[in-house]
Amino acid sequence: MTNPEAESEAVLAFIRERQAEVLSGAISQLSECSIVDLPAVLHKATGSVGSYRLEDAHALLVELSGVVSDPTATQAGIEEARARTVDALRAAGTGAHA
Amino acid sequence: MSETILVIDDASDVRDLLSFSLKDAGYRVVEADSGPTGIEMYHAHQPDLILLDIGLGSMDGLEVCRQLRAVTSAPIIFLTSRADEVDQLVGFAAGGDDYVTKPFSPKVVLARVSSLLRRKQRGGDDDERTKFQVGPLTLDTESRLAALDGVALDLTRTEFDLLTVLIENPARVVTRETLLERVWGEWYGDTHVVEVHMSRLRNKVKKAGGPSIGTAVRGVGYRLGLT
Repeated sequence: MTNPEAESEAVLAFIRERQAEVLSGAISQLSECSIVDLPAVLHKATGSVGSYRLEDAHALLVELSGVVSDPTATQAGIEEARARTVDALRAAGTGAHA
Repeated sequence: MSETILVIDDASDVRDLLSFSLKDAGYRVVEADSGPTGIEMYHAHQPDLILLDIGLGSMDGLEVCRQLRAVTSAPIIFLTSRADEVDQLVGFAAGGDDYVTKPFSPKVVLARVSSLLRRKQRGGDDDERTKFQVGPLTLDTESRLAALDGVALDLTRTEFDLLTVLIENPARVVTRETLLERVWGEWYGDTHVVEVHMSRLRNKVKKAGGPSIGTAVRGVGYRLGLT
């Protein structure tokens, strides 16, 4: 049985090549979508960013998902968390591990 | 290797990664960014296996699966992002053969694809004995028909294979590892997949008026049951 974590070199190279683009796309979508669309956008972005092994960014998106899905969260609180996450994504780099 | 895989996902980044990985492993890949396009692509290319995102926009993955299941028995692997989507898979008995959670490792997806394609090629002719009857349940592994009191049960490939392993060993506890090996082949993911499919199988038999089957034996596996 092969190690499931051992991706082929070609796949790893593809992941590395696309990481910046994937992160930048996620940041754009996240910052531009309406608050109504935010859960769906986050849902998609979290899957993409994590699959491209952007681990720090993935952790930030998971944290924001927690805020968005909290039934007690206010609209202002969600907007504040979104702005904080977008800033952190821009500042923290990719956290890439491919 | 020249099998064709249809990837249906509205996230282009995810499609690109899956497509690249599958092509790198030697598969032919066709892609669709929506449910309706996916169904069109199925008819145009007759793929050997389908990777299907549950969270599609206008037509969700469960509905796409239902429509595909009406025309094909090709293995379908769901791509899911949330625990509640896994619950949906159980609740709706959607007809998929397996699921992979996002974020995913391309290597794990490839392992699941390869395993399901091997099962598809192997068909039901591995065993000498092909007809079984235990209580009201009958099973024919050659025609791949399962019936309860003579009425056909609508089982997915995975559910049928699970029932086959249980009914071949009616008086024994079948370990989770044996089920994984017999039904999924090489397995890299978590063993929760056995519970998910066993629960679907159990519900289908029960809904058809049958007995409780697939009794869990804590820490070991399952027995056919028939209680």
